[in-house]
Amino acid sequence: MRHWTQPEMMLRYYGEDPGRTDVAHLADCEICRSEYSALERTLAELAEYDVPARGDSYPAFVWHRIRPRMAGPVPARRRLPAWLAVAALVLAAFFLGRMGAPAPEQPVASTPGPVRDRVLMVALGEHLERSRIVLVELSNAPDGKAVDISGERASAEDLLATNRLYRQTAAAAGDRGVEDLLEDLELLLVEIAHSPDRISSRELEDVRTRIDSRGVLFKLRVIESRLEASPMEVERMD
Amino acid sequence: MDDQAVIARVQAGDKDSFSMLVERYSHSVFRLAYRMTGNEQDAEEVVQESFLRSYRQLDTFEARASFGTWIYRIASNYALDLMRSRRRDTQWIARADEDVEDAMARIPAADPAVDRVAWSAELRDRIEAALTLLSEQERAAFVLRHYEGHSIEEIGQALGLNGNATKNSIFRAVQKLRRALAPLAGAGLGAR
Repeated sequence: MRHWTQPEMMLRYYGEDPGRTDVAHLADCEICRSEYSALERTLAELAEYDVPARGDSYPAFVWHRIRPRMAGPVPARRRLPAWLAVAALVLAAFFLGRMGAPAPEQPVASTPGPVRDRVLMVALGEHLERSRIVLVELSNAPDGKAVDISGERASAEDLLATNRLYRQTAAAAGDRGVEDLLEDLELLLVEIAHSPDRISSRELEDVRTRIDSRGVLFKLRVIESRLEASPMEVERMD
Repeated sequence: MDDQAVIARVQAGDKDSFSMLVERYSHSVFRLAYRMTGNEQDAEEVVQESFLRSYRQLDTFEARASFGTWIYRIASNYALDLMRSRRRDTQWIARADEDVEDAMARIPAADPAVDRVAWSAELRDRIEAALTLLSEQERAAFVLRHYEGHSIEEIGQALGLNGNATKNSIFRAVQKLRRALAPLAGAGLGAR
């Protein structure tokens, strides 16, 4: 009979599925019983970690503090579906970007709407894809005493200004979901861009932890797939 | 009046109805925030900012969702961000295994002669010190599982992690805490 592993014991303690059914082994096996009892004792001690008490008037105190900051109109339900919000973001980002860009050879106004929209979708999609590739490369970089991330660092530096523009536009458009994602992405890009060209494996692990911790890669893939699926819908918007 | 009805009233323009949600959830959000941040000042900030964010994002709130789950998620994420910014500012949290050893050495040794009150205070100090050994993600996942009773799936959703990453975070947290509290586990039970 195989002994229970510590992760299995932890899952059992928390009432999650440990992936095995021989619960009797925990009681019958002296080694497992002892280990599980030790785990229970520690976790029981941790349960005694009290939080400083807050009185009955605490909700009123919180309300008093936040009420003056609730100025402006009450946020109403979104009227636009998510894909329209993304399209609006892309359009706004495009026009904001053009304000600071050199004059194009062909004015946007002369470009048919659906064609222009598809171009814009592709532009944002490419930005997100490039960003994702940088993060994936770092996540999969081989460990070593001094890891060379000069390529990823330079890419992050390139992507920062564009990302900041998209984020500000998302904020202006009120699309908090996209704004939050771009904010998370920007924090990562800033850290990578400001890193030295060679970092220790410990620093690399730290970067990986930050990438993993907010699910940025997953969210990027979601938005990218949404952008890929939406050109026809954008056409209907016109 | 249930949460959905309260939210409908707020969205219809009655801002003051939002106070009912604050009344219902501020204590539990504070407990979560304190356990995640480890200090009252930061916990207060998390509570207030979480309610403000939830108010400002009411337009994104799904009518079928639970407001409690939603504000817990907002608070968890805000606390995570706050902890990360604190770390960037102070660099005081041990982040690697070799640092864990140093940090464990800072935890005061258990004294079997202390009375019950002193023991409780000491226990609290030791647990707080042990919790600082965890990364932000480990601490958040552990607090949500151990103290708040959320499922692995719910924690994964709140923190943007898949199931395995969530389990690993909690497991790493438990391992570190066991190592840190090993001299303590059971030692105080007899004294009490």
